[in-house]
Amino acid sequence: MKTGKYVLQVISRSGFRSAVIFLLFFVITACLFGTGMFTENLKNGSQKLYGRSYADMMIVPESYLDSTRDMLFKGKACSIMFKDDVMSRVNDIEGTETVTPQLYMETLALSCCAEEGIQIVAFDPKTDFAVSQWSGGYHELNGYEALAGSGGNFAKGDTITLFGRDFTIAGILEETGMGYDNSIFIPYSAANEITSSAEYKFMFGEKTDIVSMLLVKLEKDADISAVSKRMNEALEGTEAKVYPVDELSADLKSHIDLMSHLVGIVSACAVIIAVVSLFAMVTLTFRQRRRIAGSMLAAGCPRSRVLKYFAFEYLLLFAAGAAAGMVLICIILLPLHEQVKAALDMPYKLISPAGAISLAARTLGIDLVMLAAAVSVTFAGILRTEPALLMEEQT
Amino acid sequence: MIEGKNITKLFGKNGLKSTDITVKKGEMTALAGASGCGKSTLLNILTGMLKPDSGSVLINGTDISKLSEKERTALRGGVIGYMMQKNALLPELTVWQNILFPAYSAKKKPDKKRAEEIAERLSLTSLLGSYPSQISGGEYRRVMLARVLVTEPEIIIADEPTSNLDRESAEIVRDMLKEVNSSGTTVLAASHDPMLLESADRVIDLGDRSPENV
Repeated sequence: MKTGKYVLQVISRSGFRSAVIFLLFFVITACLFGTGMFTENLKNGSQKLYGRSYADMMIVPESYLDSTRDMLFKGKACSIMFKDDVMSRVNDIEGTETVTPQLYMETLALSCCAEEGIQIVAFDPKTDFAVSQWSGGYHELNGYEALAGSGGNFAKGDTITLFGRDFTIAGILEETGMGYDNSIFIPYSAANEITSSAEYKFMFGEKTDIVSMLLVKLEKDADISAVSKRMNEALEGTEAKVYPVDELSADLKSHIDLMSHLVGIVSACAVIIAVVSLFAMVTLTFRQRRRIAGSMLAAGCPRSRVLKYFAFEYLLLFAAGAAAGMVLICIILLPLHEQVKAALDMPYKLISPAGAISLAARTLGIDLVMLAAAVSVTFAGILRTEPALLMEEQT
Repeated sequence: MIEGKNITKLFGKNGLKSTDITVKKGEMTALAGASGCGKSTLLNILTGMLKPDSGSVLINGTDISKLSEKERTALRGGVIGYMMQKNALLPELTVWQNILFPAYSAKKKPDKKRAEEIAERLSLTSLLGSYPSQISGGEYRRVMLARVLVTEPEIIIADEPTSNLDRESAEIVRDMLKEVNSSGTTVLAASHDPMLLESADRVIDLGDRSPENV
């Protein structure tokens, strides 16, 4: 009798046992793969975030530090402004390669002359070393052209009205995992025209020659703490302060680590319960399987084929349970990743397909080790025991 | 031909001690004795299902203790057909699949026509699509006999083939064993059934837990 046919018949005839084993593999895989995917996405988000700012340090007003963090890491729109004379103070400091300004302008909800609640980031294409890295060459913007973050529902060629001016979307940026994903990027020249306009002045007051943040890129081999110290000395008397990117994101890192650990603990509990249940299920069916093995051996079926039947049954249930668990996680985490990201209030970026495949392979590996451990006792018992004694087990 | 020499298998203080047994080719031999005297143990040893503590078993001149586990299993699927006393059908397979299972196990193409004939002779035709849990005890024993017969073994070893059967079922089983024996198959059956003992060419009495008296 073909192994596949026999096993399928056994599975369908032993509905309850099969369903329980399937469910246990489903739970184990969903927990392992789900937790893995979630924490990997968190780590991926934070890694991309630290790696993709392309800046070594940021200069922001000390009183706006939290707003800056919220904008950068959580995508919360804000308006931060300070006089751009700060830039001239740090531009030529030893160890500095480039300093580029960014201006954050939050459009107002219910404003009559703009799309509401959008974060606008003005950048200087001449000195920029960040936006250009995500834009694939679109940073040569002309007039009222803009770049859109990957998180907005914009397409190239769309028109968006910002402070009464129509901007054409010239390109969509790559996903950064940062607040930038929900922003619109415009050239500084356009931002200056907006802040100089009568409407803007009427609503926000006199706001010329301003910046929100300076991104600082250091020379290779420059000592970040030494440069930081020199910059803070140069900024004395202003409201601005230098923050290494790592320091700015330290709280977030610890938050992510804490969340990863909590999710890991909850998942580990679920996995432990499922594994114990799996062992219990396999042990409970041990006596029945011994009798069946004895019956097969009595009928001349080789021991190797008996074990093959059992192994194939477990593997089939394992494959079905594991596949279902992974599909469920993909169904939850892939289409809803924007919602998950918004709900988390922290950087969250889907891992690459290769990363997901690697995670799936690791999950399956762990599953298989558990399966092997659970059935090894049964198999060893069947291998060691004489056929007649296997039959004795039923009495 | 079956030859068991000086077979000992002890389970604590019970079991077989220095038992000899010989069943000639084509003979129908009945094995009698009180319950617990070691009949099933002896049959398990003769079929290679259990290793004796000492002694040897020769099947058609081959010492089965010198065979590998795989070869002993193949022996049961080929030369020997073993009808166990215990419920030995596979619960997830239908009656028909159970009957054909030994042939599939031996990687032989099952002779379905012969299997159908045997099923008909044993009044199993209407039950072929049923599962073991859906049939009566008498039907169960007949399916086990059909499973043994379908591979056309040279030797049939049966453990209590008519126990707990109604008169009609017992008669069918007895007649079938006698019929295959008359066509040349060696039969060794452990039984308490007086009619089966009567129909045997020879009766070996294992006695009351005193195997040395055999």
